[in-house]
Amino acid sequence: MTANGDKRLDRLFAAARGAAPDTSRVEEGFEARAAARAREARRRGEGGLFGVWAWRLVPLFAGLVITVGVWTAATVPGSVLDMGTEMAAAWDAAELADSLGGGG
Amino acid sequence: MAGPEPDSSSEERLIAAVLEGDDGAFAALVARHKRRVLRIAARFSRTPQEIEELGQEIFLKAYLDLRQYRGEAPFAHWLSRIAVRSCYDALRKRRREIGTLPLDDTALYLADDPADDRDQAEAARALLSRALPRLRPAERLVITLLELEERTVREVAALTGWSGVNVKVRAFRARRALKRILEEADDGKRG
Repeated sequence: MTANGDKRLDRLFAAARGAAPDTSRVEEGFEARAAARAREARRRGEGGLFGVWAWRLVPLFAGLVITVGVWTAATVPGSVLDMGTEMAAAWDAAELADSLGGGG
Repeated sequence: MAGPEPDSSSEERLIAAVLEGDDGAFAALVARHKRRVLRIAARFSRTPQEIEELGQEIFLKAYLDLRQYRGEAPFAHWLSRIAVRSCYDALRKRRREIGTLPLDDTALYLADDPADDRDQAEAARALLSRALPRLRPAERLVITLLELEERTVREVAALTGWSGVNVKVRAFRARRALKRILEEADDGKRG
């Protein structure tokens, strides 16, 4: 079967080569459509310096943000605000101003 | 198959103009190479819409990567490599949807002494259009380029980026798989 199979395949390929794909319908006006698509891609910035590098730089920026965050938390004491303390202080200040002003 | 090479000096001018943002130059470049590219795309597509889609994708990739073209090889070769790789990517994406077309209603035999070569060619094309999607994408790519496009192993290796040995191995496996597919279809018809 192998020799027969090979012969059959060779005959099949030889015959199929006689039917070159017909692309005439697609060829009509194809270059105009391709140019329009290229123009659109350029307008959107695809392939430009920014378009090419922006996505590649995302991990770098993410890493940078994390590093700065960790460094800030580790080296700047009190950088994380205690919202409760801040609100209490604001309340006290308002009350003091109120009492000094004679309101009440 | 490839046709005459376009004049390289005018092609260089066109490429330079495209890089300057001249859309007309890009359209002219596409017009020069569209037939070659669309015929490659057509070998791996089922409908004119798929040919159009794949062809557009190939030229868009070429447009976006044009700055990487160094002029060391003819532009047509550089473009063909993009075309072949795009077709390979498209085959891999489409594999699931087209892998199960039935062979039952296709004429499986080609007459020994065909009365009409055109009918014979059409029958062979129809049969292959159903049998080839059953191959793995890499096997289909290699067998199409070698047997239907009549490219050499060396050319296929250059187009795909695979080694010559790899191309030969894949071609061998593709033929073996195709023979099995046709045999199974024969058995199905008998049974």
